[in-house]
Amino acid sequence: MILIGELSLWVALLMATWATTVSFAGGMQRRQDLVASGERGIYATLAMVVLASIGLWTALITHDFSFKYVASFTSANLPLVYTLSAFWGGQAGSLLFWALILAGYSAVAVYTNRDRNRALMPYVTGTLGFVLVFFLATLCLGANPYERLDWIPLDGRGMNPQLQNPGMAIHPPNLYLGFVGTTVPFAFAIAALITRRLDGDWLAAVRRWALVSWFFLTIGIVLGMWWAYVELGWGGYWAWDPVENASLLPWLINTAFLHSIMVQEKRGMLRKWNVTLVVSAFLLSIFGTFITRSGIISSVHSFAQSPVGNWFAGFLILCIVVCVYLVTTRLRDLETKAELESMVSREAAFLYNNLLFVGIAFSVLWGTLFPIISEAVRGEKITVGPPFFNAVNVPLGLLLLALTGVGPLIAWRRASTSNLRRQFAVPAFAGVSALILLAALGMRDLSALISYMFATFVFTTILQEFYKGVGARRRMYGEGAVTALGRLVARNRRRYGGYVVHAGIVVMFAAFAGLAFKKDHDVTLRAGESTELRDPFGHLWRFTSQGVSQYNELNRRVVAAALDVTRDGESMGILTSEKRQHVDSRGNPTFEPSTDVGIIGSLKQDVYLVLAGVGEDERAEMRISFNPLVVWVWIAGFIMAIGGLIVMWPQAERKRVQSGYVAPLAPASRDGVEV
Amino acid sequence: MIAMAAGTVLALVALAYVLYPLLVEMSPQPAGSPGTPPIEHSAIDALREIEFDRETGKLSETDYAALKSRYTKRAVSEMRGGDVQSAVCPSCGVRPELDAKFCSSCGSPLVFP
Repeated sequence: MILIGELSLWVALLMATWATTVSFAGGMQRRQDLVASGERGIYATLAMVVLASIGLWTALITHDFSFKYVASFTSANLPLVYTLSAFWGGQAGSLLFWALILAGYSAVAVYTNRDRNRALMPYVTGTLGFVLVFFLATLCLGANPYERLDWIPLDGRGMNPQLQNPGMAIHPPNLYLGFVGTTVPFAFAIAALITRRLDGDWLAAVRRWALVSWFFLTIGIVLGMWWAYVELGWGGYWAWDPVENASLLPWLINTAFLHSIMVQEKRGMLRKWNVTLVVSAFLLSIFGTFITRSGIISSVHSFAQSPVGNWFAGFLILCIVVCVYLVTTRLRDLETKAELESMVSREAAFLYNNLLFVGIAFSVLWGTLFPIISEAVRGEKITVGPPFFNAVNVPLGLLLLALTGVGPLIAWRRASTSNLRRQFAVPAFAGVSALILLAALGMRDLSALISYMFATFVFTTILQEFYKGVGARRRMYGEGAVTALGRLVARNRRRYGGYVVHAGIVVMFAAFAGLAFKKDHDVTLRAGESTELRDPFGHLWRFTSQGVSQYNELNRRVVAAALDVTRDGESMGILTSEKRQHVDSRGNPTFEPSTDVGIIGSLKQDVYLVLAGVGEDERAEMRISFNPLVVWVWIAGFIMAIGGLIVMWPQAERKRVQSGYVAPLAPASRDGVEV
Repeated sequence: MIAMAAGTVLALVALAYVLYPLLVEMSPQPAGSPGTPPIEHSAIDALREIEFDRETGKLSETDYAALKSRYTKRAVSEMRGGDVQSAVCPSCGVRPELDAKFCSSCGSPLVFP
């Protein structure tokens, strides 16, 4: 099976090359037989990549250490779940995983469009095939997971202990599903540009794919935050690390696109912008992969430096050149006939929203690339840290939060004063009231105050939207309140699912603001000694050391410190943090020691314990932190995922294609806004 | 050796699969043909959304009137199979009445553009 897998990889490369060639040829010569053959080429590529993946999994499970990949990332004593997840734990395997997802997505895209978008499909298939060729060629020639060692080691090196975490087993697949998901919209955009069919058809085809990509990126990013929080032991969940930024960039651009697509659907505007966003999301996915693979920027997450980085750099440059050429030669076809009639309108709000998303993306990209730019210009690698990112992105993020409340309420085309008053009176009052209340309660952190004011404002707008929507249905169709609510969401999934996502965003911002009140305490305790600390909510916590214990587990030596915890005299249980030294099956240390944090979680705050080390007399050196509202970050991620599911949930055929009415018209541009 | 043979067979099967459309005669549909016909009754969905947006304060009265007239015309045309023009009243705009001679709102004679 392993050998078949190895051979399948080469056959997959052959199939993808065939699919690319005949699809483009079929499109240009309008030959249906070539197009059909190209589409079959995609299906065949998927089948081959599946076989190649099964082969690698077989090698991993059977601990075949004759393969360099298996020996580098697993060991005989690695638990099964992590042996399976080692598939995407290293460079070559994760590239194969990427190819597997891409082949799967490509096959689904080709299959679901077998009767639709036929003029675009040859070029869509060709573009998907071309991206597949790149990944498969990189796999076969640059980083082959089936590369063999000259000798067979008795045991493998094992997996980095920080990756031995349930979050790490499922975080990368989600992220890859998101990254790779940008490829299908990219392929449609390229097809639309080549054929100059830049009307609404390609947009309708890609919206769902952009959503899929957004959905998985959201889950992947939040899982990554959770992993960083529980595994890395520095007490936070986001450090503006280059690899974290790399995952955020396509998310930001995807989110911007999911908003601006509505402006094109309703008003026929932002056509150039939308094409650019779709193409950029894909390029940024490849850029993110390039950063992680090339070793060009150091990061806690990156793979070892390897020639694969050059492959990605070359591919990225090629894609940029092709995209710039296609967009600049199609500018006339992308002209928008409608104009922005008022700066106070829904489309203007979407425009501001997009500018902010792109602004944040640009600042993140700039900060991430700064070490390279500074080295090129001044010969000195300067890394910008969280202070830069926070200084730029916190204000932009807060403005974006405010727009989350404004956009959905404001009228299309031109908002009248009465529209503004009717829609915003209650939410604005609620927001200002929250600000005054929190200030009166003693909150002094300006960013947090503004966050909570805007969060209350937006949350009230969402409640008001549901309330008005239910009211409208009751008046229009005479339904009961519960039926009206159910049908309101079921029949307007895009809009109300979107509101649920917005609610998740509100919760996330509220949770972010909670970190302004984080408190860290470094303590050293011997067995039996205690310390008393006050949390941000005023509770008195007492931590009594239960001493330090040392023991061996399956693949690690553990030093653990335990604290008996009480809050205001009430027992909260035992809090334990571990230092782990992983060992191979012969007991030799592997990797650097890692930390397992102890957390007592609640809706209000996490009490977060990190064992820093053990000194003389078995003194445990520890950091105890009170992290307010952290659990709400994970809850927010969950709410956003639910919202995403509501939006994505399949609807009847006509609903899927139809997006309601188009363009409230100004008499002067009556004929201009048809898309 | 067996695996090598299996790999070769695999490659041949894959090749046969992708080459099949080139070896048999395809249906006459050219590559550039449009695919599925446009969706039916989309204007009715749009009308529902227009009513709903007006009820929730998202559309001004002017836009509401303009949109309603436009989509009513389109919906009537869709329901008639897309080839019949709607009646238009000189003072009330597009009318939904089928086969009427006079506007049911103001009584003016209808025209069929």
